[in-house]
Amino acid sequence: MLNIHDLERRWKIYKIKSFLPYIVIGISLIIILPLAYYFYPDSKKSMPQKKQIIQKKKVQVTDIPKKAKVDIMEPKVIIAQKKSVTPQPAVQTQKLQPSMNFMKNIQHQASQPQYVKKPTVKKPKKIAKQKVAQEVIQDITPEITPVKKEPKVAITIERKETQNDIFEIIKRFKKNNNPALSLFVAKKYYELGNYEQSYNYALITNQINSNIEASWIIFARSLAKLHKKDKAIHTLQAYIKVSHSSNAEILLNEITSGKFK
Amino acid sequence: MDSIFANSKNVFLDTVNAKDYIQLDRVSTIYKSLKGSMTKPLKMILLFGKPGTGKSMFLTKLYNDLYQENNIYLYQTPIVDENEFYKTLAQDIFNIKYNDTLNFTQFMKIVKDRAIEEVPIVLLDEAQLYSEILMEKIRLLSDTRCIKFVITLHKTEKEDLIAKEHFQTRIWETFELENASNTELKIYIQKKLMKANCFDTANMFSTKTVNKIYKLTNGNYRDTNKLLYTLFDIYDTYEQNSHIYPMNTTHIPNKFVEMAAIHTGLINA
Repeated sequence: MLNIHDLERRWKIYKIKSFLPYIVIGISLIIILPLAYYFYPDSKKSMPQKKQIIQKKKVQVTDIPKKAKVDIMEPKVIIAQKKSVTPQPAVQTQKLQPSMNFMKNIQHQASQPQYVKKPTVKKPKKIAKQKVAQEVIQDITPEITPVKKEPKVAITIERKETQNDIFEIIKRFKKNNNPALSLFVAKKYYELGNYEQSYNYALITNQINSNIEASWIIFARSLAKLHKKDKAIHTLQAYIKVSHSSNAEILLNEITSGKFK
Repeated sequence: MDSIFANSKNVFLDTVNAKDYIQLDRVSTIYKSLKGSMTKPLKMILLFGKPGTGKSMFLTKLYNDLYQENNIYLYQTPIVDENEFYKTLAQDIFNIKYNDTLNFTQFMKIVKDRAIEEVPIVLLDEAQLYSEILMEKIRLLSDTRCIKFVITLHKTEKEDLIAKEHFQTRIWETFELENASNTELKIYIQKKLMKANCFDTANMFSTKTVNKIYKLTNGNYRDTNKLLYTLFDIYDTYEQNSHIYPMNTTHIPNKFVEMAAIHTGLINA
């Protein structure tokens, strides 16, 4: 007679042994799956971050040309913004188109200071002495601070190298009296070698806004080119006193040392 | 009256009985060939195979089929002692009884002097148990053509002895017995049970169950007999123990097969 109970017990042990690999695999899966689930979202999170980084990179890549454009197209605006001390209102972007009507009007305008070959300009003379110079500057640009009150307008200027383009800008300047335009015209005339006109427009710019460094520098450069080095030196010295402009100092050194040509 | 399980259990008792011989196609073909070889003037016939492939059953069946018409002698148990071997053969074949020792030379003289018209057939089972010297002398005896030997061997290193050239030339016919296939095993089990009128239990062996048994026994007849004996013993035990386990005669649960395999040592649990 078989010992059936013992045989059943042995059979149960055998079944447990035979299922042991499956049990071990099952338990391993039970342990591994939650761990995998736990770590999987992290990997998922990291993936979008990578995507974001890629997107950012893309944005940067696409933005760079825009910034470059801005830098090229608005050199004056950046300078104007640097000068502004108080927080500025929202900058309005205005794209200017050259207006040639201004040229006709400006020639007949009596109120605008004109360069006379004889150096009869009193205000630069007064600048020679520091106290006087300050007064002159005040006379020329009586509203140093009020300029801040003026709404700053960011201007996008499309460069056009022809003389007609300058006339167009002068026309627009006549309409809105924007110092950025007059400064641009002054620079253009300076580049073209028309130092008399560059002197005139720099002077106009200074009258409108006496805080524009570039305008003072063009003004001084034009004077120097017109063989009025003393006046240029005095003007720069007076401006440096007020603004402590490093560019003005460099130009002053160049003029005084005779390096400026 | 015994239960069907007790009767079925007894069917698979490990006995060598010609009546229990089951006709299977492949085995029948081999048997017919072997039987046909008996009529040929062959010196020695070799029947070999792994243990439990039915070699002993073959010899028994052959003896039972031929003993009435032929001068045939079956020795299921090897006569290891050489003197006893010659004396037994002298008494059985030539009806000469020796009380003293009978050596090979003396026996050879008897064989040649009393040559029988009808060549006696000697069936030696488990010939691998004979010594190498005795096997060499059996070879020499077969060379006289006065005695025909049919020997069965396990497929072991003894084969090397048989493979020796001087011995191989004397073996004219070789038959190899192999384990049963799945299909053969199913037929074997069912035929065996039906032969004993155990139709209910024969129907319990589905292909799935037979495959399971085949997996455990690898088609070996002896292992299968042993396993099925234990299987029905388990059934019988459950039946006697007031139906501890719900008995089902439609199929055999794997549990019972595995339990039987554990008990017989086919599964090491």
